[in-house]
Parts: sequence; structure tokens; C-alpha cells
Amino acid sequence: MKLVLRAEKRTWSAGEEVAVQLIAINDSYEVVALDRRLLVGPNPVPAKLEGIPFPVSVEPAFSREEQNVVMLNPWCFYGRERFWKFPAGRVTFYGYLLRRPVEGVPPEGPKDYEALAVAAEPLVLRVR
Amino acid sequence: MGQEAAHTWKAKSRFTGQEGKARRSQVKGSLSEEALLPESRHESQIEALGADYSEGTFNRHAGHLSKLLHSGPPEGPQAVALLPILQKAYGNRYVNHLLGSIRRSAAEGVLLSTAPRPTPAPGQGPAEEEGVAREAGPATTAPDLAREAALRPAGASERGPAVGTLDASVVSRVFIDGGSTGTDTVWWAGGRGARGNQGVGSIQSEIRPVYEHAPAAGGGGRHRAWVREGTGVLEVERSYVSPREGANGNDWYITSGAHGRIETHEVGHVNQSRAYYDRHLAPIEAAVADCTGRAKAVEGESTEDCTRILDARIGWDAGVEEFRRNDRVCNTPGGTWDTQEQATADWYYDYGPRTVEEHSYAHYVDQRPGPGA
Repeated sequence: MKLVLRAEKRTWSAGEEVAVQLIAINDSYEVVALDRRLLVGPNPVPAKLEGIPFPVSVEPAFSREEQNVVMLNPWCFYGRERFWKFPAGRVTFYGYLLRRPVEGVPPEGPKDYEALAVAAEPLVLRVR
Repeated sequence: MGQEAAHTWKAKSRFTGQEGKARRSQVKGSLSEEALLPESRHESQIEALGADYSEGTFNRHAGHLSKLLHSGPPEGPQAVALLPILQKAYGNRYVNHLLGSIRRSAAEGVLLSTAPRPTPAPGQGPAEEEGVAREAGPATTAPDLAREAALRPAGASERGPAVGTLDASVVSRVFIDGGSTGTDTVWWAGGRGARGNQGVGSIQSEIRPVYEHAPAAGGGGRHRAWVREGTGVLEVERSYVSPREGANGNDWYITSGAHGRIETHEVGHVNQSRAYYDRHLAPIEAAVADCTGRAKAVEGESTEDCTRILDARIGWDAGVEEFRRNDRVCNTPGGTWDTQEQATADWYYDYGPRTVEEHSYAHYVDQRPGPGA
């Protein structure tokens, strides 16, 4: 599996809606099962926070266990898009996939490194 | 659970208020019976001078207090009884401003030239009257009273729940837990909610200790030094603005559970600052109290020697710097307190777009297990 963080552009205006996608791509030649509950991000971390941190992005779980698992054929992908408005400054986005559920999921990655399956390369955007 | 957390926080705030009240009672209790006897007379004196926050009343209070402080017995001890009454009526910060104002006036020679010369206490020789003051560092950073009054929310008391130590050395020393000062849209949505009101590492009132020196009573070339009354004051206040529960602008919705968790987190910031205050500033304050007034003077070979002794005993600069540094590292947004909290199981998450009561929000913030798909 490969994780990618994507945005239309690198520089945005303050007050403009910044759209960022976290995409999980099955870059193998085998079918892969992806649990949507284990995909964390995109998580914005502004260089200059003004208060409490932005919440980490996850998604609601389905009540039936099998509904939380997405089967990905080779070179197919699953993803999540979020929008935010930021004050001027640099914002770094993170995204990662867990091997198993963990208690806390900070924006940059789990405290327990063994629980990390794969992480996306952080995406840095500028807001002017 | 979130509601419980919010409730706990409110209860804590009330407790802090009670605690502050209890502390004020302790202050009263720590004064001698003699000093407390004329309390009703002092109260009526204060009332006669004015009972509002106007500049005129402030100046009248400062003048009256200055007169008492610069008088020897029997009037001098009356200031000791008057100050706690002013603290109760107007708050610690007000008294800090009064003392700061008196100190500045004294430094400018305004009151010293008009106040009667201090009468030596029994057992003190005439040499002790010839004390000279030395500033221990830059002038006070206490904010201007009028500006502060203007910044104070309408109807809000400046007093707040005071937690800390006050003693009969007539100097107030406090950590003020201001709690939540109001509610606003969360800052992620452009408001002021979920933010602190004070800068990290900030000290709201800092009046450095001023040392006074005099030759020792026994002579022999030895010297004595002490901290001047009303100096060596530190006041730290921490408060925050709560986010709204439910809709925060058009894009953000914060559930009751997540809201309670955010409140708990903000209270945690205040508590972290209080812990650093207790660790780094409270010992300074205790040392200042131990060296305030002629009766608690230290003795040395020379004035410089006395200054060195007081500097070492009080440790003002090192303690203040440690407080600022640790408070900054811990409580800066994204600092160690935030990082530690983000790794907890009951933290809040953004569950993405969701419709609540026919309004569509881009961000639904909730605790685990979340809203369900």
C-alpha cells in the first residue's frame, strides 16, 4: 500500500477553502483489504497554532464489521477529502494507515511505532 | 461522558473560588488580633475614600495607604490591617497597583519628601533610620489600572478566585485561575474559542524586590538589608475562552462529548501553569516574605555582601526565567501538553461531513466511537 497527500496547489489565500486528499493506493499485484477505521488523515498542523490543535481526521464506522473493510484490487485506491480555512502561515498535513487500532492517534503518527503500517509523505502548503 | 467532564470543570472552578475565599480567611487569621480589631474602622475609612474603581478613588486609597505605610508605630501597623480589607473589597491586583503606585511615587521622591520620617522601632538605633533604597532591577511591569479596567468584561470582577499565599508582609502573591471567561466560536472556524487569554510564559504582574540597606545596629562596620514592603510581587493569571457546544460557524459542529473534552483540556493548561508557578515562583515568594521588612533583615560585611545574600536567597531571575521557559514549552499550542493529550484515548476527532438538524457541516467533531455511519 502507498499513501499520498494531494492538494490542487501549494499556495493558498487566507480565507480560501484548502482542499486536501489522503489517498491509499494498492500498488501491489494482489487484492488488499483496507479497514477504513485504520486510515487517519489528512491531519492539518499549522506552524503557528492559535489554540487547541485541529482534530485528527477519521471517519464514522459502520455497525457491521465487514462494512468497514474496503477491498482494493491492484492499482485501485480509496481516499478521503477534507476542507479547511486557515489563517496565513505554513500548514503541514499528515496521513497514515494503522496495522491495528490504537488508543490515541496524534496527527503525525501513532505513539506506538509498531502500529504504523504506512505513512504518507507530509504535505506542506502555504497560506497567504 | 463529555457532559460529565464539563460538569467536573465547572465544579472545579467553584471549588477554586471557595479555596480562594478560604485562603483570604487564612490571611485574616494570620494577622495579629491587634491588627484586626480596627477592621470596621478601616472599612469605614475605605468607604469614606470612595467605593468605586475610579481614578479618584484609586488615588485616595493610594494616598491614605502611603501615609500609613510611611508612618511609624502606631499608624504603620494599621496598613497591615488595611491591606487585606482592600484585597477583599477590590482584589489582589488592585492592591498590587496601589503598592506599585506608592513605590513609584516614593522612588520619584514625591511621598518621601512629604511623609513623616519613620519613627524607629523599639530597640533600633538611629543609624537604622538612614536606610537607602536600591532598585534590584527594572521597574515594575504591572499594567495600567485604567487600561485593565477597560479590558475587563462588563460586570466581571477583577478579583477572580485567588489561589496562593498571602501573608502579613502586606504583599499579595497569587496564581489566579480565571477559568473560562466566556464562549465563542472555536478558533478553527475563525472565532476565539478554545484559546488561552494570556500569553504562554507570561507573568501578569511583576514587581521586582527592592532592597533597603542600613548599617547594623551593633556597629562594627556590618550592614543589614531587607526587601522593601510592597515589592517582590508576582502575579500569574491564566484563563481561556470556551468553544461553543454544537454549531461553531457554518462548517464545524462540536458534540457535547468533544466539547467537554476540550474544556477539560483547557483546564489542564491552567493547571500546568499553576504547577510551574508552584514549582518556580512560589519559592521566590516565600523567600521574599522571609526577607521583607527591617525585622527580617539579613546581615553582611557590606551593602554589596547583603545584596549578594538576598539575591542568592530569593533567586528572582532564575526562578522567573524557569517559570517562563517551562510554561512556554508545556503550554504553547502544539507543545508538550497538547501532544500528550492528543495521544489519549478520549481525545476528540473530526469525523468529517455530517448533517445535524438539517444543517450540513464539513466537520463533525466527536469522541470515539463517533457518530456511526
